[in-house]
Amino acid sequence: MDKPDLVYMIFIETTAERLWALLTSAEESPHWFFGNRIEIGSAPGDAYKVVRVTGETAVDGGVLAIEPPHRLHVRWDMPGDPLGPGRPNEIEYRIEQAAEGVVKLSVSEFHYTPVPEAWQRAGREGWSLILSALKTILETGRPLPPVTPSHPEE
Amino acid sequence: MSEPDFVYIVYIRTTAQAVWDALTDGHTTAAFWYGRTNESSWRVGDTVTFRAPGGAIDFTGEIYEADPPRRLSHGFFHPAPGPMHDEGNSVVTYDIAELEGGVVRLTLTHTGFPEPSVVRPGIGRGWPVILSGLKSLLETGQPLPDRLDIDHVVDCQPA
Repeated sequence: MDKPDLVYMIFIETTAERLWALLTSAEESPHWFFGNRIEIGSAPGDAYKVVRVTGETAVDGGVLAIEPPHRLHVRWDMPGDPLGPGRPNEIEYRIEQAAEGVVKLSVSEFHYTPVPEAWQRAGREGWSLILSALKTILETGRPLPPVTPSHPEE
Repeated sequence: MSEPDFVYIVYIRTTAQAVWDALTDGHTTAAFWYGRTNESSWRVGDTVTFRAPGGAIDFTGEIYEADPPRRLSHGFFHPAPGPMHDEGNSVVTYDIAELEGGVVRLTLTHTGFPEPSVVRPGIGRGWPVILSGLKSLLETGQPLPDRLDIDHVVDCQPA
């Protein structure tokens, strides 16, 4: 596989199974994904969607690889992509045991086209918030209070 | 030429003051920073010294900016002989922002790496572990289990 364009990671005191369940649960996803709901199939070729609270589809993608509880690789197509339609994106989540009782979650982005620095900055903030929110839920049992991520200025 | 800056952002349910205190009170870092303690007056122009559990000085640096509890910037220099020492000084900056709802955004920026750098691969592995541990400590009162072997942590890509 190509080298990812960006990688974010966080270490969480939990099990791979608990993190996987949270990451793939439509019911729980709004607590860590800006209120959005994730709908995901169980096999490669199935749909992968991110649906806003308004019902609008933010991401209309598909499952490329799914290996519970360690790897989820999805196509990430944004119908309203501000950088233009048809831009291929992929996101891969990897969950690895880092130590007894601690897992490492990493998220890799594959873009295949250049992404402006302002969008990289916004992505870094957004993913950081998602990873921080997952960690808070798993370690404290309650979600991180809602935070509005900044938007790119250009 | 220089290697890319390293940036890591973490959101923590806490206060800016609690983040500042954990980074600067001299002993709390031991809980999330592989046992390192620090010593400094945190006044601009003074020095900060990070000590490994055995007492050896791990790294040291000059304080460039100290605006408690919002911003701290200091040098990062390995005093012990070797390639990391020879690479010279880099710069560590913490920006601590209180957001709505009792959440703090901590942005760590580590800059000033030559190309190629022997320091950057290690800090790319280390910062996510350290800052994940800081978040755990401030939100749960307990650090991450002190069993994370840094050599098994994959490097963060340039971001």
